[in-house]
Amino acid sequence: MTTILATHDLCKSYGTRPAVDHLEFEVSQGEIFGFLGPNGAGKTTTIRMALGLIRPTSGWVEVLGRDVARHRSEVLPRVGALIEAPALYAYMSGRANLQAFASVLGGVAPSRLDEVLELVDLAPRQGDRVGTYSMGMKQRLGVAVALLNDPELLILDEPANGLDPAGIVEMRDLLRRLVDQGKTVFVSSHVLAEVQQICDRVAIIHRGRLVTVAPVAELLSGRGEFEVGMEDPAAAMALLRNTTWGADARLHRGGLITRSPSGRGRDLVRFLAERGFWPDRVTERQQNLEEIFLHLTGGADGGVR
Amino acid sequence: MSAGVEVPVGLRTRSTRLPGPSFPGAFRGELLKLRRQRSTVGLLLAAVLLFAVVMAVVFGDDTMRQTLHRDPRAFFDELLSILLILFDTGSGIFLLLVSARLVGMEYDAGTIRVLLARGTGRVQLLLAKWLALALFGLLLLAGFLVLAAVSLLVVVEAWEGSLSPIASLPAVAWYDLGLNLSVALISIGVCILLGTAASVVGRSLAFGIGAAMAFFPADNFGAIVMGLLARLTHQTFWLRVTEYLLGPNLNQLPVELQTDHRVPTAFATPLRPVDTAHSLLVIGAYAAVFVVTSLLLTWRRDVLE
Repeated sequence: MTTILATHDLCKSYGTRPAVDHLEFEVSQGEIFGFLGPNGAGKTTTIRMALGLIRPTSGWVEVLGRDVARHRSEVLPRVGALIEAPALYAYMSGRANLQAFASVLGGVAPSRLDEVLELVDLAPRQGDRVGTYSMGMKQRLGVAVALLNDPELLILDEPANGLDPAGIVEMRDLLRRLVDQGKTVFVSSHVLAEVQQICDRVAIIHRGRLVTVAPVAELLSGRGEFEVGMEDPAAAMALLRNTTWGADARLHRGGLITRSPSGRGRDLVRFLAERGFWPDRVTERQQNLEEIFLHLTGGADGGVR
Repeated sequence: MSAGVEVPVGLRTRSTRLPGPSFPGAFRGELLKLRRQRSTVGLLLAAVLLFAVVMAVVFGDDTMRQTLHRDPRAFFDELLSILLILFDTGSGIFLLLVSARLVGMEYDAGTIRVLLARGTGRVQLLLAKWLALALFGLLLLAGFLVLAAVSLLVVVEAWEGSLSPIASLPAVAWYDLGLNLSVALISIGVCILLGTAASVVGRSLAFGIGAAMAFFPADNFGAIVMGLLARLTHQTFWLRVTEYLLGPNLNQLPVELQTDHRVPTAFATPLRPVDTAHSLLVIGAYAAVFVVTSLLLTWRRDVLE
């Protein structure tokens, strides 16, 4: 797999406070890569370094095979980005905004403006001043700006901000279609459900440090745990904690969470039944990213939902 | 974004590689932003109205008519001085506002990050803004010249029945016109550089406009304060300070350049005699400071907007 984006021992400090601390990860071509962390974790700082907006204190960012700080004029025209809130000229129409950005980018055909306006469903409102747009419309126009130059890599910082549920679904669909065309999408978010639903792999960052990078499916696999519904789960937990494989057993929402002696559910059922605990139900546990995040960060500061 | 929308052709295949950001493209983008500012058009209309009012007052004065009949050269000189003061003041306010806005709005709206994140050079963008503003300033001067010429010709024709008083003007009168145009050009340049520098320093529209608009009133008023301090303290130091104030030197320039007749000034001038070379040096030094400050800060600072 070709690496499209990579950070190499990336650091950024403001005074003595490290905002990004020795960050290392790689994004491969054709994937939707999630960049997850609470507010203030260093996500936007990392993205700004990837786009040459701020200079790393040390380390570097590789974009499309080159150091972005040294080759920004060659690399960045092949990247589309939406950073935090959409940045637009409020006094100009949606189309004029695209024209202004297209002029700077160079080589964007007028028909391309129609294509991206159609894509983000803003064609009917293209002549209206952006100041009259809703937040969701601005967000979509921001995406249109990012797509103007048909980028190979799309970097989106909190793309669901301001979008209604239908808009979020459509954004997700759009990103999938872009990836189907061979593009790579890097999505930063503090909304775990959003990342969980659209990303192939995810990097979790906390206080500027990388906590983990893994495929979403692997993170969600539940680490071989089972959820057991039964009478008197506390007594069963006490029993399980005396075993080598059940030492992590815990109560959860009136039930019990534990591993199995062999990793298979039927062996857990047999173990419990032989000791007089008859399970009402046993299901393989699917964790959500929120739990994983809290587990990995030891209970992060607020800001992730 | 409707889910049913087909992915445009540009997204399906790798389109022809874009030429990337260029200076001409950035320049065109800046012209578009200037053209679309409704406030710019409003200010222009207000300026034309102000011009009409001033001309009505000037030409409504019977002594001007008598001066034209008696001494066309004196009439021409007097009118030229009034027009220069009118242009320098009006265009100064106008260009300070437009320049500060053209730069400040990028920081306020965050569009600076979009432009730079697409590979546009920081300095390239600033130069494009300067060039667009310079073109705008030249168009302003050209428009003013046309208005002034038409007014002059109409009035002379109406008062004298022919244009012979204009045709009979000595060559030195046209030379003085050239000198006044040079002063106007210098004023245009300084105002553009001051307006942009103020916004670059403050990275905000409000700060940029505030600082740019306060600069000339402050240093014109400063010259008066220095005069008072010199009287109170009997120290010539305060008078010497006024030799190095930008506004007073700009005001003094037409006086120094046109030595063949008395040139009135509307605002503060240095409180000690200065020559043309000194004034040009001081104005050049201020312009250099504005240029270097804008370039350095644009080039070096992180983009946090």
